[in-house]
Amino acid sequence: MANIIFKYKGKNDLNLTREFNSTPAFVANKDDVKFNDTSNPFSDYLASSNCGSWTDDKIKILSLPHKGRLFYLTNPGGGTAVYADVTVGQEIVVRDMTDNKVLKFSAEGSSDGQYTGNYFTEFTFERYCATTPSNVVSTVKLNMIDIQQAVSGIMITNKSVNQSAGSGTFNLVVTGAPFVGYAIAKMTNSSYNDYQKIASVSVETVHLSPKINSYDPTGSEDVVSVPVNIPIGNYNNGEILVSSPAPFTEDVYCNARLTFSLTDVFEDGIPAATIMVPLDRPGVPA
Amino acid sequence: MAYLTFRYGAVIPLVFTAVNSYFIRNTSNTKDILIPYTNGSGQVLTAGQILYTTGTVGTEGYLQVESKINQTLTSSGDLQTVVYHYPISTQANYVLNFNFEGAPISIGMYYNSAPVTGDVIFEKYNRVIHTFAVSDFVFSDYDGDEVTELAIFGDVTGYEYSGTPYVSGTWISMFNINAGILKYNPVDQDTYYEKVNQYKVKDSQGNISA
Repeated sequence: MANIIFKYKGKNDLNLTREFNSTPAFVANKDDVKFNDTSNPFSDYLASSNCGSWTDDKIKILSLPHKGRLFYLTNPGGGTAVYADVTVGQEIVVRDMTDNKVLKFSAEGSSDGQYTGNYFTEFTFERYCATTPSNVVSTVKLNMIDIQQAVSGIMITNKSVNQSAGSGTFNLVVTGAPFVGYAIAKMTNSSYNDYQKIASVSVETVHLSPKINSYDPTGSEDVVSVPVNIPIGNYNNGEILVSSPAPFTEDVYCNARLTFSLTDVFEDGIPAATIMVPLDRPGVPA
Repeated sequence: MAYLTFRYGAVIPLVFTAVNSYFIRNTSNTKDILIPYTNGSGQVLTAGQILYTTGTVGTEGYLQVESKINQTLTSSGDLQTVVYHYPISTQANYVLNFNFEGAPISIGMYYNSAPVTGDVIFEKYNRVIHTFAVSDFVFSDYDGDEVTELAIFGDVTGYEYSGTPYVSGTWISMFNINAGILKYNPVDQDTYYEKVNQYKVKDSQGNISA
């Protein structure tokens, strides 16, 4: 008998939160996101060859970010840097990214000026090699934080944003059982300053990785998925109350990550993006 | 003077009626064939008695005609034979002639080939449902017969036919496949995986691919 063989590609999400300065940098800064900084999810993911041979190890761009631009350094050998827009379908040798850092992301807009305000965007690529079938489709989710606005004080509240660390992290406050936490999401729509509005918000998953106690931070991490409810409404620079419908009674310090899915009615048919708001500071027990 | 006398007996020879039989090429066939006869006069055959043979058992080209049972040909009836045949993949139709007890036997040998299938591989993105079309499959038929149906075998978890789980081995018309009602729903997971099943097709003669 002949065979029917389905080969379904794997999926991998990479979440990066980066700051950029919307003013006065009117000239695009193509290093707004350096994908191959050490110790970030992107470079970690590309650290090893998928194929056992770097020659065959490539990525293929499947989609581009709907805001900002991906650039490709065309002359990694030296001289004045020359960039070209990355195109869908373009193949890039992974070794060129890790060694020569040829892939760049700029927060700039189409008019060659920076976007202002925070925004979230993403692009996808497929990592593959000619010798193995285990291709993986990766989505790089970019959480771009405009530090210019942060300076103006819009984002900072005592409950949430750890802006001073400059890492765009968000604090989680545990107030008791059932678990209730506050997360402040700076969810502005940079395209329409008059009506910065998030039409809907939902939380896909909250991962809680409780440790045994604060004195044993190396304790085992149990990843717990907690369904949460978030009301829909206008969250222009506002707070989001994150609560779990199920009792969560553990009195623990925890690290948590909160994934938001945002829909922006004022975008031109383009979802505002899926963002990840990392909550990586210990919560405060009730 | 002595006589020289010829006495010719009035013996009426055994007569067999020509028959036809059908075989699948490139396959080991075993067929019972009844060959009508008249004028039997007590000829005796034993089960397994070879009436005709050529080639080697189990290899292409092999053909052997045997008596199926112990039988005595009296008056008229059917000579019960069994034919073992492994035709080559390009065997053309012909008439097989051989004799039994001096009486000619003719069997029209007609051939058809089962359709031939080939592996198909689908590379899909994570979680993307696949809706089958006939063009997804690889098959051919030596005789040019229309390939009319298809069945899938193995663990068919995820296969859906007309909105309900597909049952392994169920024959589906090519018309319905092109109607888009045969689907594969992938596993809802992030990691790479492969799903392997087998399939067969059937031609308009009812022959099924290996």
